[in-house]
This record gives sequence, structure tokens and C-alpha cells, in this order.
Amino acid sequence: MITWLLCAVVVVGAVWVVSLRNLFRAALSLGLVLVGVAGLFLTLGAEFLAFVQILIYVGAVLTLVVFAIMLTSRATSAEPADVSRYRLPAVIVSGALFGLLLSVTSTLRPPALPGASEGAVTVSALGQALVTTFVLPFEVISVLFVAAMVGAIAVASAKK
Amino acid sequence: MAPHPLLFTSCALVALGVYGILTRRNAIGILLAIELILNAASLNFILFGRWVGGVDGQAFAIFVIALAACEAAVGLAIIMGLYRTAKTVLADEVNLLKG
Amino acid sequence: MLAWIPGLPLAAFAVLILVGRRLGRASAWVSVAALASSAFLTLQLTPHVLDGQRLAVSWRWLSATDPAWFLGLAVDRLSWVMLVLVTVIGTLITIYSIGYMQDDARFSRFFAYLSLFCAAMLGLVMANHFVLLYACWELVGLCSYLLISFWFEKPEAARAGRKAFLTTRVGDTGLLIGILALWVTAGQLHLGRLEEIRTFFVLRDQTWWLTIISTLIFLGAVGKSAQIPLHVWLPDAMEGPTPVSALIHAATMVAAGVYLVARTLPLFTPESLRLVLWIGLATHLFAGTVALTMTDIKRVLAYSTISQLGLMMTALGLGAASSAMFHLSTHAFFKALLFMAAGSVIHATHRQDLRELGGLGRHLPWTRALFLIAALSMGGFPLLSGFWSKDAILLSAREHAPWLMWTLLGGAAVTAGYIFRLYLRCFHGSPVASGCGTPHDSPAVMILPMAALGLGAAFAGFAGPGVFHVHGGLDVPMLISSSVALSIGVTLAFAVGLKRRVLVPAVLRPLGTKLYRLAANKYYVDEAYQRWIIGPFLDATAWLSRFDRRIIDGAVDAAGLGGWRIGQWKERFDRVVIDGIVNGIALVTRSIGHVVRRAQTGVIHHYLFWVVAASVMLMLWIRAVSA
Repeated sequence: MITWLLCAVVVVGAVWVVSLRNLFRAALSLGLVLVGVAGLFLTLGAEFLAFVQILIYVGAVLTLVVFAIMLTSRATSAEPADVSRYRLPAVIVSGALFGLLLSVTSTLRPPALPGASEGAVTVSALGQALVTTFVLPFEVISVLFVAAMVGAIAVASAKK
Repeated sequence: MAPHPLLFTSCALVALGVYGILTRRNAIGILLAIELILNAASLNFILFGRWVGGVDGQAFAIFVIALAACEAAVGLAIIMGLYRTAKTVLADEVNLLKG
Repeated sequence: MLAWIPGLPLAAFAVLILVGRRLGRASAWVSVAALASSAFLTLQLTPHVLDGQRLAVSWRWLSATDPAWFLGLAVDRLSWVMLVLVTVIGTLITIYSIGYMQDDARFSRFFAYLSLFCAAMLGLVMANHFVLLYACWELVGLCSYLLISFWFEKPEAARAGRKAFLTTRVGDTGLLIGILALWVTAGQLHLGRLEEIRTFFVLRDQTWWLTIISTLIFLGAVGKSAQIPLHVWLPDAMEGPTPVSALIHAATMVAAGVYLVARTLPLFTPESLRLVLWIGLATHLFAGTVALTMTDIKRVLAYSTISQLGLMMTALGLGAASSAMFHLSTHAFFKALLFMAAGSVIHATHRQDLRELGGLGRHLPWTRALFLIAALSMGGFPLLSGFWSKDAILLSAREHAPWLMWTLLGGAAVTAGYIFRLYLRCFHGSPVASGCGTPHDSPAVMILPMAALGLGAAFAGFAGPGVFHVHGGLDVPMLISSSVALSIGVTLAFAVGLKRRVLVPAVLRPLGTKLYRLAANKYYVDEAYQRWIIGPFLDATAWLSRFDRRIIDGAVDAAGLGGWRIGQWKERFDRVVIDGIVNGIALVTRSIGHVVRRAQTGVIHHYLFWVVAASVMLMLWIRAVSA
């Protein structure tokens, strides 16, 4: 029951994100979506991921986005119509994509496996996996972080 | 046959994200739509991970979140640079690649 | 060790030409030291040579030919005499030049050329192969050009150098053709094998080849030794510094021709020897009479040299090579001395015209004494060196034909006449106002070499029997007749040359004047050359130039015009057809581009739209296929 509720919140929030004219409100709707997805994570037994979602997305990414919106507000507020005129082709394409994805996924059901859906994954198991099985992607992600940080600073810093 | 509610949700997120990318003129709005798609991906990872069992799904969800953070940082930096250079954040007004 | 003899002066040349300017005054002594060392080395060879040995050193030079060419140096009696002359007289002249050239701006350059001149001459006389000889021969010619036109600021000097070079080139070309002919016919150019070559031709009954080749070689000697008709360069060569004249006339340049004929005498046939004889005799008498009329000191000496060279050639034509070489040696001493004395006079008075000179005997006692010794020697005063060598030639002539002896005695009288005319006009008689203060004798650095040469001029004749194997002892009739010739010459010189006594009977006077004018104008040889050779040559070149301008240039211009027309037509073709094709292709491409570039809007939404739409279509298609 609570899953259905959260799903409804997420979908409605997502519609707001892409349709609201005011970009600030769209960003707040994105926060709603993110929190809803975090709730869905909880129902799926991924508590750690839920907290990470709240911390990083809502706490960091969304804050950055809001900052950016406010910094460029002079440009955005002067713009009367933020949503472009190519709405009909976009509706057609994304509708087709939605139908396609639904038709693919509608037949999927949870498998009747013995270990399936038997409670939450522990944080310690997740950590163990990250530094053993997934140590290479983990390291690559670390390097990516550094590169992104340097790149962001380099691109955004005012150089004359 | 009705689809699983979470799968329906993620499909809707992807479709809405694509719609947002195609219709938003503001670059920050495009960034928000991309976040929707990324969330759909991590939702699917966790769902299928739970169905299959083990920690693999959640581990990849962590990577997706990390990538999303990076993407947001770099994307916003590019937007700030663009704003400084072109005095606009409207993506369809930036046409340096016009042939 | 032989290679050191020409090598040392060559090294001196290299040193002086490279660092001579830095050496300054010392450069002269480099040259002197090199030449003196060569002289010392040469004198060390004396005992071997007088034993009749032939010293040689050679090295394989060209092995592609058959037989291989061995270039090298060789010294026999003939070369040794020349070596002594060149090194000893060259050394003395070089020392003398230190005084003569002391104020010259190109002091070291002069000594560099002088060293090269001597080195080339030494190489020439030591060469054992025609090719090496020819190389040195040309080098001698080059050096004479450099030295005669040493004061090239003077146009006359530059012209004289050019004249000397071009005139001798005529002879050199003959020599070159002769050498080539020898190579083609006999295939042997080694100077030590001349007898073999002669036998080769005689055995095949082809002596006419020998006549041709020897005549060509003699042509080279005619050019270098200033015989008729190529004598014209030598009087003009007086424009060079006086030491150069001394060197050219005594030891190097002109001696080369005599040496060449003496060296290649085995190749000469009776026919070519007769040619040598006649040319030598004609030159002897012709130049002697011209010398009687010249007023320039150095020109008198120049014609005297030509005359004496003619005498040597006469001796060679008689086949008396040893007499010729003997006279060449004694002549080298007294002629070098005469030139140095003349240089001393010029140095003292800055004048060289006899009409402006006179009575210098008081002021230049040393010069006068040495000049007198040289003049007596040249005139054939008994027991002086010239007497011996001249009598040797006269004796050869008497064996050949008495008329020839009498002719040569007449020539001897002429010789005595002009040389004493020169002596008397210079050092005796009334002094002509010279206008530049009292002239005084030259410095010791000039007088001492002259004194050394004076000894040679006086006593070199006693070497005759030992070195040259000429007739020993005194031939009394010859002594008397040559002394009479000398006395006649001196008397006439005193009477006509100094006292201006007119001896010609009135009847013959117009003829005498005519003859005098003929001789004074050097028999119009230069004018004849100008009129008959140079003039027509210039006319021919002018005509050829006109031909070039009209016909050749016309043809060239027409070809050019035709080419231009064709070019214009091709240009039009290019513009219309080729450019049309190229531009058409470009136009088509551009219009396609115009259409296609519409897709490149630069707007990211368009790109994204097509990416997403295409992806969706692709997935739908895959699904339709897999279903």
C-alpha cells in the first residue's frame, strides 16, 4: 500500500519537474521525487542507499542546483517561456519510449528464488563487496571524483 | 497484465526525463531531467538486486549516485562557465556547433 | 729529398699567402730562407750530378692507363744547371727585392708570388713527365701574369700582364696539342724515355710525326722564350717591378722555353731543327737592331734578352744543346745583374728614359762598376763568362756553316753596340738635369746581391768545360774575330750613341733614316698584329655580334613569341574548360553542403531529439524482429 503511495508521489513530482515553468519550483519538485525514491529504497530493504540518497541528492546536489538557479536567475527570470515550442514531437517520442519500456517490463515478475526478498542487505556486507569484488570500479569512481572536482574548478573559476 | 508498480514508476521517470530534456530550454532544467533518469536507473538496480539477491544491485546503485554527483558538479560548472561566456543559460541559444 | 727543392718555396708561398700580412717585413725573409735552402740542397747534389748520375723520385699517379703514369722529379745534368740558376739567382733577386719593394703596400704578397714563381720553375725543370711539366709550365705563366701586373692599379701594367698571358697561351696551346699528339701516337709521356719514343717512330718509319710533335713543342718554347713571332709580350712585361723583370729574363720564364727544347731535343728531326735555327737567328738579329734604337732602359734590356734568347735557339737549332745551356747560364748571371743595375738606376733617379739620363757614373759608382762588368761579359770581352759561352756557340756555327758564323759575329757587334750605348748614355756624358736632388747608390741589401751576381757574370764561364762539356781552351781565330766584333760595336756606340757623330754618307742618309725608323718602331710587329690579326678578329666578332642580334636573336624572339601565343591559347583553354570542370564540381559540392548544413543547427535539442527518436525506432525495430 505504502509502495503505491510513494510511486504516485514520485510520478507526480516527476511530472512537475518537467512541466513547471518556474525553475525553482521544478527544483523543489525534484526534491520531492528524490525523497520519494528514498522511501522506495527503504521498502526494498536498502536502508543505507536511502540515507545516501537523502544525504547526497537532497543535501548536496539539490543545494548546488538551487545555487546555480539563483546565480543565473537574472537570465531565467527575464525569460518568459522556459518550455520550448517543440512540445509535440517531444510528447510523441517520449510517449513511444514509455510505451516501449512498459511493454518490455510488464511481463517481468519477481523470481521464486530461495534467497530472494529475505530482508535487508547489511551495510557491512555492502562495504565488504565494495573493497573486494567491486574494488576496481570503486577505484575508478574515486579517480573520476578527483577529475570531476578539478574539472569543475577549472571550468567554473573565473579566468581572464 | 499490469506491470510491477516500481517498474512502472521507473519507466515513467525515464520517459518524463526524456521529455524534460527535449522541452526544457534552460540548461539547469535539462540537468534536473537527467537526474530523473538517473534515479530511475538506481531504482531499477535496487529492485532487480533484491529479486536476484546479494549486494551487487546496491553496489551499482552507489556508483550511480556517485556518478550523478560528479555529473551535477561538472554540469553546473559548465553552466556557470557558459553563463559567463554567452550571457545565457538557454541551451537553444548556444549554437557554436551550427554548421 | 728531391721533393724539398720545389717544396720549400711552395711552402713559403703557402705561408705567405695565408699569414703574410701578419708577418709584415719578415715575410721577405721567409721567402729568402726557403729559396736559399733550396739552393743549398741543389748544391749538395753537385758531386752526384757531375758523376753523370740521374737522381729520381717518382710515384704512381694514374694507374688506369697502360702503362701507368709515374709522376716524379728527376735531376740530371741539364736540370741541375737550371736548378742552380733558379735557386741561386732567385735567392739573390729576392734579397734585392727587399730593398726595391720596401715601400710597397702589398709587400708580402709580392714575395708570395715570387716564391710560387720559383717553385713552379723548379718543378718544371725537375719534372720527369710531360704532364707534370705542363702543369708547372702553366703555373709559371700564371705567376708571370700575377707579377707583371703586380701594380695593377696602372692600366699599362694590367694590360701588359694580360698581353703576356694571352701571347704565351698561344704557344702553350701548341705545347698542349703536341703533348696530346705524343700520347695518342706513342702512348708514352715520360721525359726519361725520349730516346725510346724516337726509336719507336723511326722503326715504324713515321718520323713526320716527330716533326709535327717537335714543332708543336717548339711553339710552346717560342711563346715562353719570346721568339718571333710571339715576342711582343716581353718588352711590355717591363711594366712589372724590376726584380720581376730580372727574374723573368734571367732564370725563370724565358729560360723555360730554352730548357724545354734542350730537354726534348731527342724528339727533334732535322726539319724541325732547321725551323728552330731560322727562328732563333731571325729573332737574334731582329731584336738586336730594335735594341739599338730603344730609349727606355728596360726596353733596351728586354730586346737584348730576346736577342740573346734567339742566339740560344740558334745554338739549339744547330743541335748544340750544351752550348745553348751554357749561354743560358752565363746570360742569366749578366742579364740579372743588368736588370738589377737598371733597377738601381731607376730606384735612384725615378727615371728610365735614356734621353733624361746621363753622367750618373759619379753618383752611382757601385752600380756603374757592376753594370760595366755585366756589359763587358755580354759583349764577349775575353775571359769574362759571356765570352766563353758565345764563342762556344760561334764554334758550333763554324762547324755547321761559315756564313752562319759571320752572321752571328755581326750579331755580336750589334749586341756590343746596344749594350755600350746603354752604358755610355747612362753613366757618362753630360748629366741631364734630373730635378730630384743628387742621386745616390742603392742600399747594401740591393748592392750585395748585385755584387754576388757580378762575380758570377765574370767567372761563371770557367765552369763551361767541366759542367757543359763544351770546347775547352781558347780558339785563337775565334778570340780575335769576336774581339774585333766587340770593338766595332763599342766604337760605334761611343761615336754614334754618345757623341752623336753622323757616320752615314749623305747619299745613304734617307735610307738610313728609313731603316732607323723601322727598327725604332720595332719593325711594326705590334701594329701588324693590331692590323692583321686583332683588327680582323674584332671585325669578325662585331660581324658575329650583328649576326647574333639579327638572326639568332630573331629566331629566339620568334620562338618566344610562338611560345607566348601557345601559352595564351592554353591559358584560355585552362580558364574555360579545366577551371569550368573544377568550379562545377565545387559548385555541386557547395549546393549539397547548403542543403545538408540545414541539419546542423547548433541547437542541442535538435540533436538530442533525433538521437532519442532514432534510439526508440531502433528498439521498436529490434522488438518487432525478435517477437
